[in-house]
Amino acid sequence: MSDHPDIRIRTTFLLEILSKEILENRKDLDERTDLFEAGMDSLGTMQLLVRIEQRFGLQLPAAGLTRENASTVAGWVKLMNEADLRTE
Amino acid sequence: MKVDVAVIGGGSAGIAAAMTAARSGADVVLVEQGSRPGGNASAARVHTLCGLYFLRESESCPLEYANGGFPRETAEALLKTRGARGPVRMGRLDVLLHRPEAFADIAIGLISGLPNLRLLTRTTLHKVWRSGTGAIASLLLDTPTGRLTIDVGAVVDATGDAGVAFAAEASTEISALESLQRPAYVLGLEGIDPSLMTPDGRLGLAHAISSAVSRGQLPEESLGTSFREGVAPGELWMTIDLTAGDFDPLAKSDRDSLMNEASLLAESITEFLRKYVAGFRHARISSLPERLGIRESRRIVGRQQLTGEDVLTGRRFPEEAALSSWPVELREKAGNVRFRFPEGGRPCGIPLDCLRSRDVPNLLAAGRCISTTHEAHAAIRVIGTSLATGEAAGREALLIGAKTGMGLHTA
Repeated sequence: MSDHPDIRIRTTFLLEILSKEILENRKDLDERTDLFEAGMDSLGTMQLLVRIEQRFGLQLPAAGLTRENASTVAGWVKLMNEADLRTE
Repeated sequence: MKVDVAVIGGGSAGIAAAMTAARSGADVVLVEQGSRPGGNASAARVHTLCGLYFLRESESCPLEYANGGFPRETAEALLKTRGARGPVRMGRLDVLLHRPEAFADIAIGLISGLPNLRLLTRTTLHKVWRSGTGAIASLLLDTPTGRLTIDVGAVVDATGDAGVAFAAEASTEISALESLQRPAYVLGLEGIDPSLMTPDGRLGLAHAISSAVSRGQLPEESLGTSFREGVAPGELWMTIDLTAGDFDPLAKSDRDSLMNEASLLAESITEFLRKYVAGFRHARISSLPERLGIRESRRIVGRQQLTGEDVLTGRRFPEEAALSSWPVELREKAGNVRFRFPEGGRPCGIPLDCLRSRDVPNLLAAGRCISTTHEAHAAIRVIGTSLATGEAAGREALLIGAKTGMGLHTA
């Protein structure tokens, strides 16, 4: 999984959207930060889902979108990679 | 008719102001435009009381009321009558979930216990007269049975819109319309499967709505929708932050048309979820709002103005009306909420001079229309803090009312 070529691009994309558009003043975010602790909510979740679809054309499966997966950027990247496999 | 203190606006701040002044023996009139008191906390179906408690680093730290007195009394009365549940932790914040109807019931119960406090419902302010000293001398009200003139000792502007200050030609201000915190439409649902009440369940709803927007099944405005569990089992509140670009909260036509648009949007979202989300199939609308939840509108210009920096540094002042513990909560765009937390989670003081009109000696503001900048407003506007500034305004109005010699019946 760690060899997936898109991991870095996706991580960078998510961190950028989160720190610039969704969460406030969070320049210190990394892929392990607890996003819900950092102020993420369902509005932010919807925004992120829409941006992921716009940028990568990926629709994340509803079943995988658990609090656990959605609470870190690493979890979101994992979900995106799983969505890739489903469409490939 | 003659009163020591007139409180205009029967929301959380107005109730607190009127109760506080009346409990000290003053003759008080409380004027409310709707049929019941409670304001946003009842008529707009806001169902969480924010700003009641100090911020906590973690759940293991003790929970303490930021302001004792009336905010605490209200919270405890709601909890005692099962009109509230919690407090519950949401991210880094502690909020009390409440039933909007219970908030109005508690207020009516408290008000009716005081013979020297008269509640006038379905009544609005028509005109204000000032005396030669600049003080407000009397008010002309539109009541369901006709016009009524009241001579006043002091006035509390708890309209949320600085309506009294404006009518008295005192200084007021409002931020640029496009930067105002977005108004919300809130609706209650029942018959929801408990699996949707969990954090995962709410993420599922968020997923369903965002997918529907991507596929063009729901309009983009649906992305301002969020859900919160209610006090009763199976009860869910749906809040839609409305895009409403150039919405003017002071224009009745804007409020009416936005209310119509929002109710249609809420209907299509509910319909969609009933059709496509299993746990939502048996959802019924249990509670419709009587008005929009307006977050930001016009404010008074006070003798002092609280700033965002004051809030974020936890600044304290020599003469404080109350403490503000809620972070700066920015909702300038629907579908995006941002919190700025104060350093060390410290509360800031709200100077009494932020409640005092700069121009009118016997006019005080309470609630969201006290004197602040746009950024500080985003912290002090919440109901818990409004109850506290209301209480302070009631205390101060009583002192002014006594000085103007309105024949105060001191206890």
